[in-house]
Amino acid sequence: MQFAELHPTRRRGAPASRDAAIQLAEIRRILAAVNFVAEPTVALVSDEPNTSVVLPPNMQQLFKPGDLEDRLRWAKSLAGETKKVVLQHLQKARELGCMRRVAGPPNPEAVDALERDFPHCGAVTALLRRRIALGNCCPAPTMKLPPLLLSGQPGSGKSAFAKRVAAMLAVPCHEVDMASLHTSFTMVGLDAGFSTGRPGALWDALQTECMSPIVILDELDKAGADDIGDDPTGFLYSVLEPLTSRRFVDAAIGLPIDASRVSWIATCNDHRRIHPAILSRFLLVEIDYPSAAQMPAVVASIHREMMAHSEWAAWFEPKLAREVLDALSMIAPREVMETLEDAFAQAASAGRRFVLPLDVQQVRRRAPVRHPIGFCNAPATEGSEG
Amino acid sequence: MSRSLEPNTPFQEGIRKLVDRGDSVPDGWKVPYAKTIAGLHAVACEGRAHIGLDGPLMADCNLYVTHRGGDRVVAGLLGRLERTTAQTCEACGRPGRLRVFGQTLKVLCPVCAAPRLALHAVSELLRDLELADERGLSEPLTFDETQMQLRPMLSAEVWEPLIDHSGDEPPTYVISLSQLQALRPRLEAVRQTLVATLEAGHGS
Repeated sequence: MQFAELHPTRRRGAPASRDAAIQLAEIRRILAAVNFVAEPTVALVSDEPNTSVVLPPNMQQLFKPGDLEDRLRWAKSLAGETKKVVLQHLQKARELGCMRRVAGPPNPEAVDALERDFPHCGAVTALLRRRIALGNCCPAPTMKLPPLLLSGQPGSGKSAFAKRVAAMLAVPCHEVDMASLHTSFTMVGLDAGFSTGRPGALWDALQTECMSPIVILDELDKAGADDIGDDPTGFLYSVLEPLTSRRFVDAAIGLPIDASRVSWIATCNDHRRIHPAILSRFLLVEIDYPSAAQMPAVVASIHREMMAHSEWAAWFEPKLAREVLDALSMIAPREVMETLEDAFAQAASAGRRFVLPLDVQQVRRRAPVRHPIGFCNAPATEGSEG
Repeated sequence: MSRSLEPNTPFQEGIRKLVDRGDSVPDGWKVPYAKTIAGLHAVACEGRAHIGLDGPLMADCNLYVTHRGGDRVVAGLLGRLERTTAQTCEACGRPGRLRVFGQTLKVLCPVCAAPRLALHAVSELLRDLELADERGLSEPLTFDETQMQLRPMLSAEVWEPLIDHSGDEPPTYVISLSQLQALRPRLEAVRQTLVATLEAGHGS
């Protein structure tokens, strides 16, 4: 029931947050007095021991309200810019409330669409289906993915797949480029004792109406330690463990929050470069390039996405000819989007409202040929033994 | 300025009337009202014997007492009453602010305002649903358009996200009119509960 209160957007002219929170609590008290409770319900533990709070389904407690008030009092004793930042974050958390929505299982049709658009990620889709079945066994259906590590060649659609999963679950999605991460501060915050103390990305990810966002750790195998030896992946040891993640504490904010509902999806090109202790915390799924038979579905998916988000899309015919699909199916998935856009540009310059296979071939011929540097990771060529 | 103990001066007479009419003051404003009377007693003197007082009067947003020929001290005391009551719940005396219930205005704290605002919101929604039913409308209600007080009455499951496949923005939640129509009996029960709560004297 508190779902609405937790939504980040407040109506214009709505009363201040504290006033609103008191009003909502009072309305709930009146409704509870006449047993007006949504069914089914789940019982969670509140601040007071031996008190069970009846909550509507799909809502869970992110933090204890008493802890938040303690931290607010502490934050007021801070000085300088850090005080302002920490207070802002704590007040936002209070405004959003301690109860947050958890993701529910998606519709089977959405999983079918995911499977159609990413046929080469069948292993993950099958896993999703099993997790949905498990989630539906709960009194209040919920959805929680195990930490997933998608390993595969560059451009095989790992990141795009992870984003689609987030969209399918209707949860916020946060992307972290691990290749550019040099310390764990970015993720878990920097202590408020420092003048530059700030909360981390994980705290930010949980400051929405939903407490089960998806965090995509892109290029996990490329995360490198900085000069002072702070391992940027160090935070994963605790947040990927269900027990410790239930009381995750951001270094700047210091408020224990339940981060166990966060779904982690990491991508990498070579999982052997990841520390075994971290690797063991993930469920490793190898993603290969789509096969020749799967490519037309991938191309069609990219085309649909492009037509949905491009301003010029309405000018062109909504469907691609079979021959064009076949021509594009010869390209790596990552290059399909730019090639297709170039082909549309080629068609537009020729005054056509449809793309021909010739357009694809022409823009492909103009595309620079990329040669990998060195020879260690060079792909095996036909006729070679490698 | 000498002290005056003469009870029949206009000023003392005015204070006596204010005391007599104290019962008409809402419960939540009785404390600032009593403090004002005590203050007027304290500053009563020969020099202020001519000052006329009239009240207590209730505006939409505060309680006030008028004066004729008052000086800065009396004006200050009465001004403080106006300012204090404008920020004090007239039902319980906790800090409050002006609330609008359709055509009615009241200064209330959030606790006392909650059932009134909720009743107003649910009555409006039920009326809109009736109109939508009559006119055959089917436009869904978005979360942002929903009055805050209705939120505890609409459980989380009835809100459906409009999925944005880009995944960049948090989803917008909507509730279809057909779902709301199905909830009408439940909302009507809530309305009756709120009416009963207010009639039983909650925050009155």
